[in-house]
Amino acid sequence: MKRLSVNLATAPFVNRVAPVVAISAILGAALLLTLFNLTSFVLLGTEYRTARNVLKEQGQRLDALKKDMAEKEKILQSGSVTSLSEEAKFVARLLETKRFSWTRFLADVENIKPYGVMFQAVTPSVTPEGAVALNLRGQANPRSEMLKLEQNLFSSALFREVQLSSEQRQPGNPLTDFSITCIYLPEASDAP
Amino acid sequence: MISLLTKFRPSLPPVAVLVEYPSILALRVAKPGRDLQALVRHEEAMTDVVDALGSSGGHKMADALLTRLGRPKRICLVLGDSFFRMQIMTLTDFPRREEERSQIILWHLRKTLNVPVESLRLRYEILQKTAGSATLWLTLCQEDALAAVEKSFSEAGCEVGYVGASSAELHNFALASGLLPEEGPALLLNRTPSYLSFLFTEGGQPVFFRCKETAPDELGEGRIEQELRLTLAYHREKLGFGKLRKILLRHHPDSLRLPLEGVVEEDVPVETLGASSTGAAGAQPWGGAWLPLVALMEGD
Repeated sequence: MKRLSVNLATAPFVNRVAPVVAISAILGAALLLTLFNLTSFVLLGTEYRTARNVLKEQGQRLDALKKDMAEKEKILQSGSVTSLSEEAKFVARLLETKRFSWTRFLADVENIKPYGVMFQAVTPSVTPEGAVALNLRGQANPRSEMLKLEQNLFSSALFREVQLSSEQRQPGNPLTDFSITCIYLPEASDAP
Repeated sequence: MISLLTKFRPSLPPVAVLVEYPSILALRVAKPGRDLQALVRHEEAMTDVVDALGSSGGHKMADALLTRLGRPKRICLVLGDSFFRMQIMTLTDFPRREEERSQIILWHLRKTLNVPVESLRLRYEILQKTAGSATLWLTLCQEDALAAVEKSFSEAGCEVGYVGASSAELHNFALASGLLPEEGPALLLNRTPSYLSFLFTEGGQPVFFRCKETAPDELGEGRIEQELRLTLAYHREKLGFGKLRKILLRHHPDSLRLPLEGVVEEDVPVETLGASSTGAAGAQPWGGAWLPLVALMEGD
């Protein structure tokens, strides 16, 4: 059963509760969100400013590094640096050569040289791997002394890759000319 | 937006005025709703209310009335049924658009009314709507007359936001009070010195309305009885409704009586509205005269 609610007024009364509640809810939500925004702004503002300063400093540092790197690249691309690099390699090779100690070498050779062997020339050279290659040239009398030298070299821990390069004996001459190549390891221990 | 808000029941002010010959009744309550507590009950005699309110003296009359009511800014107005034309109309192919609805209703009214429909203010309410038809409760009044009444109050600084008819409010009162039978036909009679209204219901829903104007002392008791017989016969024989299950009666003033004896069957209960309606506990009974205002203020 339905009530009769015909209203003939020019401007009928309307129910203001529904729109007021709706508008109040919207305004309340907007107010709460505004308060939340303000609180967030205040609380996070300090952190934001700190982070912004750090970023600014890092940016300035990055700019300085980029500028410095550009200058360095420019210097490296110039000719003087190329020659300097070659000179550095030469000095490195020289230093490697200087690492060879003749005193120690002669002391080591004395331990392995048989009585009938005479050295005429000792030529050290540094291989690209940094090892010291020796070329021993001399005379032995009798020939067995040369073999003894070779045997001593084989048995010593200071020498590796021992190889008899050449052996020559003149008719009527008891001396045997020889040439031996080997790798000298001055840092190795000769202990048995 | 406004049309959407009108879908909700409006929040009415606690002040209402009933303009119904032979008196003007004004009521101010503490708060609209159940158990009304009257703050102001004012009654004054009236000769011709519409003319008075519509004329230049209407402003003064409204001003004096509002002063007695505590100068409210908003009031409700209930007018006698004779101020309106109310009827029930059944339409097929009820359109969706409001403009088309109004045009169709006015087109139908042109065939039955002998006044230009453009000069009328029309409001309607859908009583029942099915797929093929719609039953409407129409209320019309003279645009100029109602505008003059509203103007009288607005010039006195008060907005009239509700204008209703006496019998419609009585129907709502009967519904809210559970006085109308849930099944079967019933009749609500509204008797004043200036008119006699018949509102027939079926299961609580209005099915036929008639308002017969009766100028004071014009119709004798015999003529009233004849109108009753004719209308009841029309309801029973032309409209095809069955025997009435209940008759609700409202008198204004309370001394006015209707000659129902011999017109309706003896076993049909007749109940006089307002006899036991008191509002707040301990308050004096409202009486039939105040019922339209009480119905409006009590709401559902």
